[in-house]
Amino acid sequence: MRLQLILALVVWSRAASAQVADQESGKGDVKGTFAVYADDDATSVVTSVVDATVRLPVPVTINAHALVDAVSSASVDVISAATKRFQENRIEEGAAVRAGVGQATEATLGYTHSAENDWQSHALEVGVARDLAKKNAKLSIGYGFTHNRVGRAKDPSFEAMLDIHGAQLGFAQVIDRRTLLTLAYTLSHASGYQGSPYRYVMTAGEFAAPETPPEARTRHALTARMLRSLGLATTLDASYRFYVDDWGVVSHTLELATSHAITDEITVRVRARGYRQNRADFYREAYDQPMQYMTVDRELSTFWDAMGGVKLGYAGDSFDLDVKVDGILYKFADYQRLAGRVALVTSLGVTWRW
Amino acid sequence: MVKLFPILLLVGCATGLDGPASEPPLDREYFRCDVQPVLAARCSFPACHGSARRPLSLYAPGRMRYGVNWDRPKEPMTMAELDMNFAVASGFTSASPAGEPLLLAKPLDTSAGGYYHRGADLYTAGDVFMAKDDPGYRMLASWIAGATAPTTCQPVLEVGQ
Repeated sequence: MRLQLILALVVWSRAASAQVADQESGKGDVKGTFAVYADDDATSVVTSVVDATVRLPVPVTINAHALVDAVSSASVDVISAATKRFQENRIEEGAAVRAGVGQATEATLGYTHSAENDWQSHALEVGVARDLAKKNAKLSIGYGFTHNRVGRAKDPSFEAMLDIHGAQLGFAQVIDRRTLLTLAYTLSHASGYQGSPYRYVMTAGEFAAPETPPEARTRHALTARMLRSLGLATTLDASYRFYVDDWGVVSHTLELATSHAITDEITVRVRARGYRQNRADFYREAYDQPMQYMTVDRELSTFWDAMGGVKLGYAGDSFDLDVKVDGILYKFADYQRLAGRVALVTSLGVTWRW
Repeated sequence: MVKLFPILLLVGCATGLDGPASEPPLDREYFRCDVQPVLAARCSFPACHGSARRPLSLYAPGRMRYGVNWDRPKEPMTMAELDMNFAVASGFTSASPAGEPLLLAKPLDTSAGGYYHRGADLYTAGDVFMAKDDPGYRMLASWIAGATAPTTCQPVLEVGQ
């Protein structure tokens, strides 16, 4: 039962991948991941990540990661702005410390920095988690703050700020010997510039203007997830997420996955996800008069997507290997310049443990 | 679902994001006489803003026209063209996220405090306005600041260099 609880906690919080106090001193792992995203809107992203964790002699684990995203795009957004294909890199590095406080409580402190040619961010996260009911339940609370500096390519004089405060409350409960349930509520508030300096609202022959979204946005998300063991070799993973914000966006996400252990070392996972959102109150594909708030960001339009994928994993004594392929179909209901998009995401991960 | 209701109610109260913008105090006659000549002379080349592909898309005699026959390209601006140029230019007079209105900051050379402007890359001799004392820049700035002109005004000829 405790093993199952640990499995569930992996799902809803990175800070809960295992109890610090339960890990052996000196143990750790290094994982390298290489992923490629490509879609039929002329965009590709190649992601390389290295992530390492080690347990110190005291009940503390140290984690560090570095990530590089190489983006190349000539999407409809880029072409609409009358510019050519662009290529840029995003580099992220971060570290986190997780400390056990007694046998039942642990605290987490993390920092992440991300930089690209027109964006810089600094993110700080703190969290506390406590086991309850003889480790059959776990309660966690976390807070994060991100400070973003938004720039514009080739334009050192353009600078806008975006600050985001976020909090999460999570609860995991072992329901029975085969079932775990997790619930998480997240609240975030963003203030500052939330548009794109490259995007313009255009109505041919009438008016044009830089897009002007509101400077404040408050978001709520509630996620419920259930993990259920179906025999010794098969696990079912189901989740639902409800999201709402004060820009008028409401979304629903449903995901189902099943993992099956083919042998002691090899596991296959199949998953499917559906997402649906309605547009922000002020979103229009075309405006017929200047409005107080305007955006043509298709991520704020009404759309749905469906994702399906397969993951094959090998777990050896000292190293793991996983290969993953996901296909995603997007359909935009009120964005005629791009009615839909098909994307393929493939990744290869290798973990070395000691 | 019952517990979600207060959240939905809270969000519902926060709407009102879909209202029209307040009308900026921009004078149409000043635009016709002092701004349009600057835009026509300094910005409306076909490779620049005399193109429907640009967000700031401008009509001008001898360049992109609307409702004017191809064999009379140098006809004076029509009222419809002036209205459209006024509406398009007005959209770039609000303060940008970085501070200055784009209609002033983009054509101003970065050495004088302007923003990056691809036009300065295309024409390597610098940006449209190299300094804030350029007569053309001053007229755009005056319009945004609320300058007015009588209905009898005549379009200026001095638009800077």
